[in-house]
Amino acid sequence: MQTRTTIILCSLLTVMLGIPSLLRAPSMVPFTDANVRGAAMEAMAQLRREGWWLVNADLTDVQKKDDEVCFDWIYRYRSGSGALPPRTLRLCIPTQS
Amino acid sequence: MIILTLLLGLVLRLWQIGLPDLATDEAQFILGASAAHPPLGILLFQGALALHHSVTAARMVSVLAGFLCVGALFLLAQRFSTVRTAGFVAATASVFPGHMIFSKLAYLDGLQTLAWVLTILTLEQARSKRKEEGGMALLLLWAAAVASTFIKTQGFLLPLALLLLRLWEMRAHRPWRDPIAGMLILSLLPIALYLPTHPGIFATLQLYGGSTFGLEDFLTRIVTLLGTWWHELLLLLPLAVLSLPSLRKLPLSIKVLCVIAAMQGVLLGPGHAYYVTELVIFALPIGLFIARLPRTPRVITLILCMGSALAVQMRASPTYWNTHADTLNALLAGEERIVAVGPTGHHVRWYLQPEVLVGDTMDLAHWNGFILDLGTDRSLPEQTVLYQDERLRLLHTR
Repeated sequence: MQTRTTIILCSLLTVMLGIPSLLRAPSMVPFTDANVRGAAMEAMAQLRREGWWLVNADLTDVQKKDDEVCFDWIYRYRSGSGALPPRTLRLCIPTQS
Repeated sequence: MIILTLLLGLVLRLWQIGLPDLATDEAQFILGASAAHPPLGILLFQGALALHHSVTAARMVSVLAGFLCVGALFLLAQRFSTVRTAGFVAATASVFPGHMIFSKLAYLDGLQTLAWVLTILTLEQARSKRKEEGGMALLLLWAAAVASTFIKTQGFLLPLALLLLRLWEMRAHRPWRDPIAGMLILSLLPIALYLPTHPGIFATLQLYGGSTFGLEDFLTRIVTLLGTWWHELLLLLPLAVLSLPSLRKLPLSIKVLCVIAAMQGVLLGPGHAYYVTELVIFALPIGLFIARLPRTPRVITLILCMGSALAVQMRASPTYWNTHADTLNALLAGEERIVAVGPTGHHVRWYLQPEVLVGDTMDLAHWNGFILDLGTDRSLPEQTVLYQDERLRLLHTR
């Protein structure tokens, strides 16, 4: 295999591997807001107070409103017995406007 | 002696794989419950679990990675020495206690070590090829380096260090046109995109920051690290020290990996025993050292290596959950959900059939059901003790 062919092939594979991360990038934009970051910490603390395993909660949406920030998660619990059906969790945290 | 040592390593690496309890870190990985690392290693464990839902099946991923790593170290050593010397390297690696033990458990470090060794092997292969015939070697280098970055978060350290090393080597020869440097740059791009778009990784670093990560209290870290190394490696530790001059005969890429393998324990947690897995890279200088010994000291050294492996293997393995889970599940039969308080590791989820809620910060005043007390100072609501032993209590609130 020629070096030039390898470089082209690896470049294409690199782009393919990077696409899933690039598709997630827009969902990270709300976290540039300090209010959202602060609300996220409180939301995680609230999830813990309700007994959920944080590592099983995948954040799917962040909605910033005038006086609150709402977070949506999909909760997937797995154990030695198998996986429970996914559940949707939603928490809205009041913020200072 | 080489064959005998390899055979002992083979037997010990397959001995009683399913016996120890699943550790909480293992449970994290096989349940896909870790936000701290990229997904490749976790996916491999889950793939094995999909084939056969058992701890042994998941651990066989590490076992296979361990065997492949011993083979890769043999091939790597063969590039710089004779087949005989490479045999001593493989023999040392096969009974290297830390690598042997953690290659029988579902930790990511066995996979990480294999990926790092393959990265070095493919790098050296690519370096030795002429430009017009190096295409396949470059492809393998890219694949090994990408795999390195997607098993554990710190996996990118080796490809990054090798890139900087290569740029330095080629500084007088237009490094921007060097295909090896190009492959290493490409291999780092996917993880460079992955880390900022998966905030769980940074959240975990923040959670463990300060006390575990960094160089705070450096002398205490070094003392703890040496204690961990001695406990996990026994006589392989002084042997590694004696073999350090043999590093001179090995290429810079191997020295870089030796430094990374040693330093990750200092920087990321000197008490974390699993970091000794990557120290198997020191089988290279140790093998070179053993090969140069006269016959009698060489035989004695190999016997001491085998003895260390046996001694570490013979240590008692924790089997509490393997022997008590059925009793607890019988008491919890038909229950959908329970609360666990105290040090609730992910392994509890593996062994118990009901869904487990983490109760340490829950308001339990109105909880009506089972509570598993793993050792907490919290006052719990009025309850009936259904089961109690030296490790836990199973309670039911009235």
